[in-house]
Amino acid sequence: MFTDVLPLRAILFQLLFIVLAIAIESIVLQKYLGIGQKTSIQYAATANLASPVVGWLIFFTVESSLPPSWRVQLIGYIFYDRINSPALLIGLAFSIFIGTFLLKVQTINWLDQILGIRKPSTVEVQDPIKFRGRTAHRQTFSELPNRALAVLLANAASFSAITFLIAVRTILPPTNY
Amino acid sequence: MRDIFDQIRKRMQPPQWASWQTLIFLSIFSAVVAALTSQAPPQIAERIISSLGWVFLILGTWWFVYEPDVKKKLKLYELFIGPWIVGALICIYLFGTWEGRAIPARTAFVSWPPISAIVWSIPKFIQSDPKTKSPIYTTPTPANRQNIILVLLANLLISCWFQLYFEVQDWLTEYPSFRAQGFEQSAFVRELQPPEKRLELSRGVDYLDAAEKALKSQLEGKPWAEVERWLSNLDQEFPTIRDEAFAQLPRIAENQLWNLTARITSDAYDLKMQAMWQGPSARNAAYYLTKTCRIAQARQVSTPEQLKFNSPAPPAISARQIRSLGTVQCGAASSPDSLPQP
Repeated sequence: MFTDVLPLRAILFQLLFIVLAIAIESIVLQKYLGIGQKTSIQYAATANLASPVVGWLIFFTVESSLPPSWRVQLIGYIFYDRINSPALLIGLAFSIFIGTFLLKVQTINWLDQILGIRKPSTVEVQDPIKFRGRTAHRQTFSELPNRALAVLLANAASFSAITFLIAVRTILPPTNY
Repeated sequence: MRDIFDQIRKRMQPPQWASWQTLIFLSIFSAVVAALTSQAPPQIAERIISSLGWVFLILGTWWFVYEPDVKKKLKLYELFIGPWIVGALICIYLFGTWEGRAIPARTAFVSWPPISAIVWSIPKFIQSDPKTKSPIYTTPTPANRQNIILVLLANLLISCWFQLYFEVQDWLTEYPSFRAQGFEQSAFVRELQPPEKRLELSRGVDYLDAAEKALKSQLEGKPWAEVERWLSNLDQEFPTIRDEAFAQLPRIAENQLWNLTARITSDAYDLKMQAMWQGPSARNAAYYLTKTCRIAQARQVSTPEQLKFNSPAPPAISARQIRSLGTVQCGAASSPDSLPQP
């Protein structure tokens, strides 16, 4: 059976969120990592395209193995935008946040390997034989931009913006877009 | 006459033997041959030849869309759409013509974007050898590698959207009544044309109609005393009506979400049946449908017993028998919108 019920709103929102996240995250990464504009956009674009793909794959796998009562709740949420336990939604959102953060760090590491970009952090510690003074070592360490932290901040910024948009959508009266 | 043949020949003949026209002709030739081969069940020869035809068609189209003139024209906002045409053909070949299934649907649609992305990225891995002019494998440049990753990821995302569409269709097959309450609030789906009559989309109507049928077969034409006894024991008797109603309808997952109850609303025996939706609801109020049936007695005057004229006993005038029988008359199922909340 094929109906004219299309997931158009999901596609529209996802496109909007991806574009927004790429824009915000590239700015944050550029600022915290001190990298060029082009590299930061590459990082943000790749990470933000990879995470929804992985997210959907997890969704499809989990959805097909849910017990019927949970499945009905999920369908209800998708069709009517209503959920029985908001706590579950908050918990899910939080785990998605952690999940995307880890995924983005990993994606950026892989991207470095694939594109052959030299990481500033590894350049410094690659040579263990060379003697370094204690102070010198500490200094380089503190000066080094922490990539995970930068990605965490970028992720937090983009999630905040997306959450804000979702909140606006919830508060505003429904319009038929 | 000769001129005409020459002209046709000129048109038909490929500019070079190694050209896309040759491949397209080969594919047409294969299609003709495949059509001529026997239609007997194993169809091995036909399958092999038609597969060859598909391969020729795909390669020919692939070649054609990458011709410089064609490539220039096949652009949608600076995006060259050739790979997606080739990808579509590959998907139709791989997933569309299996065992004569008419609808390629799911697999073909879901695999179309990533296959096209692979078609798109193949030229980036190939470089022509400067000496022999033959193609050799090359590692793409970092810029190209980044582009391949982004194109592949974007196409995978489109695949996920196709998959989501098919998931939604699955849900609507298993739980069709969700449509009855409308998807105006949804953040995910949209109906292209919201139907005029929402009520008819609800399977609650079907349940109530089935219950009406069961009720009629249970009560109609039964002696009134029996009907009244049945009605006074409604709580014990109605579950059988409910089971019969459920048995009449196709078994789908949604059946679990409906509950059918009945109560007597007036002494003239108005039986109000209620189909209550126990799944998620679009509004705070419960979603239910009702149907009211009037169960009344009809006086049926039965013809007197045959008078037995040839019996020895004197033919007494037998009393006319008046029997009261149950009748059931039901209204149409109504939506909760037209009724006050319970």
